[in-house]
Amino acid sequence: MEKELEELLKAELLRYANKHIPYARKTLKELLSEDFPHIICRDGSRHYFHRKELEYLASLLPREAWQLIRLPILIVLSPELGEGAAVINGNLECYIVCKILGLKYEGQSRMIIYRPQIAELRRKLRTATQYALSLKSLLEKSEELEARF
Amino acid sequence: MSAHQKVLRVRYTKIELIRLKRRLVVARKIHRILRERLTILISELYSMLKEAIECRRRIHELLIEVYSSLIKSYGHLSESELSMLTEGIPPYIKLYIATKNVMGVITPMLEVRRGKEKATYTLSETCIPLQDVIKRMDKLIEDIVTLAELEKSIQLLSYEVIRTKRRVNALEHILIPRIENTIRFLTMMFEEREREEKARLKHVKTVLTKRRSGE
Repeated sequence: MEKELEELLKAELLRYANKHIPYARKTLKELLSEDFPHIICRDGSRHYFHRKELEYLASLLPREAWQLIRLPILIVLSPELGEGAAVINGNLECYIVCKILGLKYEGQSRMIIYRPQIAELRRKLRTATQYALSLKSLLEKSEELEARF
Repeated sequence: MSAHQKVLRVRYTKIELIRLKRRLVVARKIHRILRERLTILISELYSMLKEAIECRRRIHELLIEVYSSLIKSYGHLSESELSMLTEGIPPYIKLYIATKNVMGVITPMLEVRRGKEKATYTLSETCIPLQDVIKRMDKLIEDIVTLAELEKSIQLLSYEVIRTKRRVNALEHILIPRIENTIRFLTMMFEEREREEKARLKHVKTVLTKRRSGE
């Protein structure tokens, strides 16, 4: 019973920490076709996109890629990489981030960015990006701690 | 006894000790998550502050330019001519108010959209300084809306930072130390009980040996 409760609590922690993440992400094409481009977050709130940002993203990508990229781009903060480091997953996402930050894109599907770069990215894409917490390492660390007792 | 040295009021049983250890693990997990959330919120707050300061500076510069051009335009057009021109402007700017979610904080999102109708004037109707005012006003309205969005977001984010900081501090300085102290206290108490038990057994053993040797 206690173990089950513990598992439930873990799930609850994950839910609480990432309650602002969308249920389902939408493609750039879908969002551009909407009058008021928005997504529904896990806490039930609506997150609207700035049309200017969507148009800026559309200008960075070829037309064929509009239906492949899903927004918002998730900036996954991973404590195992150290404080202030974040991961961007996905080919197109990495391509966009490289273009915005002026980095060279080498076909990678995962890249690590740091605090000043995150700030720059967030400044340019305030509604088209969202933070997410990677809790895997946090939970693992706690399990280690639990094992010590 | 300071707040963090206090122990929780629990029953002195081993089950309670196990429960406390589990509680400590959960409290530490929540503490880590909240600390991470706080870091993000603070960095977001700083970046918004920087942007708001920059936006405010831009607005001041634009206002100075707009007002100086407007004063110049009074030299070319009379007040009645100017008011006649301004009355004829169709409402071609629309302001949309929506929400955006920043780490669970719902902040406003304001957007200026331009309609198809546009205020058009010929140079013969107006003058160069007034054309300049019209051009700069568009930029000014956008900047004012951006500043409004930023300032309200900053206000809401700061409340959330205060709330999260309070929770982090409560966990860090009160709850976790108290649980740790209680665990330490219970562990020491059980160890002491064990030692007492051992000493008693030894004593019983010596008494029994003495009795047997006496027989």
